[in-house]
Amino acid sequence: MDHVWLWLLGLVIIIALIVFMLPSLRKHTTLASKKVELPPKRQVEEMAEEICPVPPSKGQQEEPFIPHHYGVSRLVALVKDPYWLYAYWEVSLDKQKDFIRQYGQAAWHNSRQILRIYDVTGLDDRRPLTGHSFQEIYLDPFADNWFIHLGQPERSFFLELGRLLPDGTYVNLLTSNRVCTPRDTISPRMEEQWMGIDGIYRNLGNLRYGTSSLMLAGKEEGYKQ
Amino acid sequence: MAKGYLALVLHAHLPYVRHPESENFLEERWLYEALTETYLPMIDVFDRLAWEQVPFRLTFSISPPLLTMLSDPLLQDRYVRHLEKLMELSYKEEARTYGGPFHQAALLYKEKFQRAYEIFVTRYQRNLVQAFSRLQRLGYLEITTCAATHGFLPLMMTNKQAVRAQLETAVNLHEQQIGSKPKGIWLPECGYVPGLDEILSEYGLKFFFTDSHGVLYADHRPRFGVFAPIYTPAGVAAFGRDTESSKQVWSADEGYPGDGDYREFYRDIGYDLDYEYIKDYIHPDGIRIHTGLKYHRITGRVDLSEKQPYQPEWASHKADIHAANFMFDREKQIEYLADIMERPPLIVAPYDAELFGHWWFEGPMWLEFFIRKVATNNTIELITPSDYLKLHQHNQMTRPCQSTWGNAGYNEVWLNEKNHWIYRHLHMAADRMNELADLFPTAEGNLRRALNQAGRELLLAQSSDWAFIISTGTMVSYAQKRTKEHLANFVRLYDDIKYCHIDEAFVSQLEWQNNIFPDIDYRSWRTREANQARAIS
Repeated sequence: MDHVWLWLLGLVIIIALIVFMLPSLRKHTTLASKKVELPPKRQVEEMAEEICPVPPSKGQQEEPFIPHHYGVSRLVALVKDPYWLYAYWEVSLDKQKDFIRQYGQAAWHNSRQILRIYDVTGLDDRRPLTGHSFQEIYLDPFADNWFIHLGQPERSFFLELGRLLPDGTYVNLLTSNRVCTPRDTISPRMEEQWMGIDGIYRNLGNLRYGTSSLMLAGKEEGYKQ
Repeated sequence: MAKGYLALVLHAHLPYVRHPESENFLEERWLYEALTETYLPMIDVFDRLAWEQVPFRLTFSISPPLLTMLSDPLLQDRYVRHLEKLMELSYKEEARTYGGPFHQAALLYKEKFQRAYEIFVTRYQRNLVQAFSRLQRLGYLEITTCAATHGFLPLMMTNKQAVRAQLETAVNLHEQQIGSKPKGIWLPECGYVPGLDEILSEYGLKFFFTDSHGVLYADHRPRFGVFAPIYTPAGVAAFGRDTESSKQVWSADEGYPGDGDYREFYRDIGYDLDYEYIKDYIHPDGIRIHTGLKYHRITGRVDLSEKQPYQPEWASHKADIHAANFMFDREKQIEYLADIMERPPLIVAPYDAELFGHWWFEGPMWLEFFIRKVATNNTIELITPSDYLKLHQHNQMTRPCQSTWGNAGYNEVWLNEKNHWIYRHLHMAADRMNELADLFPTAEGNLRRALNQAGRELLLAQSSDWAFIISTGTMVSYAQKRTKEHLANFVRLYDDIKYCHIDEAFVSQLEWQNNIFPDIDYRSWRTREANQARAIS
């Protein structure tokens, strides 16, 4: 009899298990049947996406990344006002390697980064770049931009970035564009230049005895108008 | 005949703040506020004057980003919804304020919004570009252009082709939208630098404006100061700003807008009222913002909490007095100058259009009073630069001084310790754009789309507004994000184009997101050397 009870208990457990399992089994079947309907829906979504792309997800909305170095050597001078310039620069790795090849690894570390400001006021643009005079600024070793106080309105300048070796040798790395500081006051130069008026001098050569003003005016349609 | 001329110049500009990805961008509201408070009231004034045949001539500069936004269907729809919401709020406010000190002001806003709706939706079918070009056709406005995205040109001159692209894109868009080529330009921030005149003349631009010292400090010294235009070496006319008339309107202390009877900008019901009541009309995240309904007057130099209720009749009476005062002062100024000059003096008075209505609520009203008064005045005649140059063709030739209308008069606002970092990126992007344009003389298909989009991203990054905002310190994070976003997009497009793996989905997404200048042509960035090489081969 004991065995019968055990059998009965086992049966109850099995029935209970089947009852619990059934809904999930059913789900499986319904899911499977739904899957069949999916493809057309997807197509609709694809169409919508083409017309109106999905906006970027939240993850993309962090501060966008822009590189600090572009691998291009350049020194660019800008004018801030009549008294100040601004310069930024990048020395590419290739440029640095060239320097090291020529002067050695130690020279790179022992030399100082300096900025030379050449005054080229009144000098021709196309001539090889040299100035009336220059001044030097000793830069922070890691600086890659600088505000330069000159206090000289209405002058032209260009800059050079270079390195000063321990023995005092100056090695030029980069040369900038040319900039002019603006005026900061009224010009002392008073001579005036005015636009010419077409037609005033046009008939000078045509004046002969016997020509009337009417004829002259008639000759030149532009004058008449 | 009048003894002298007055050229009123209004410069309308907003950065490109279209955000298709969400309707809740605070920055997009800049456009809605400017529409409700400035552009629509201005058009209302001009249309009314035109209807009544009151003669006037005014110069109106519309920047390309603004022009694009005004004709954009998405923004038009959103603005209508915004305006409907405002109207709903104004009806509630009419009831809430009944019998109280703010009722008159509440009624004023109700009428104002209804009127705005009528003009925007019924009269111009949501497109205000029509309104402006109509006023130009009728001979009331002369519409000038600006650089494509209001790029600050003096600090762009290291790459002249980048400047050319800013101008070419602007001139093309202007012609397409307004229906005629612009004769003149409002240089962004009045930023002029020698050499820019040559580029302006390449695009048929015959005049521009500078701040006072742009003309006053010209070399050699101009005989008539700022009271007559000068011609640059390239033959473009420069019109210098008159300090006196500017100050009367601009200055917060001495200027008209600071008068006690005028509306106070900083008391807004978006901040003042109960959260439960106002929550549907502020930002959905509960951030309190300006709704545009402001019920207080400036009162005087008192704390914001002590501001008194706004009285619409007092304000309009004051605007009338100030208009009369402005005319009287210009009359005296012109009479004095006409005696010492051998030609009729010209007074150039340029203002930000958004000053009128947005900051100075009564500005459009003042302008209407003033135009009506001048119409019957024998001393002053309103004129535009083109009209003046037709009447006085022969002007002194001299070199204008590098200048801007920013603080201290030079480049400081756009180049200082806060925003200097942007230039190394902007310049590099511009150089790379030249490189791409030179590399592909005739691109088609996806390559062309990617190249054009790279041009759009560059232009958007160059907008002077970002440097300005970073420098002034409000909304800095937005301006920084916009700068970096467009630059990052450009960097990726550049790499994709150069290394031949254009991601079409990425290009599509950007075209959808930053859709300014549908007809942009990347070849605007081709350098002159590249063009010459092609001509030879």
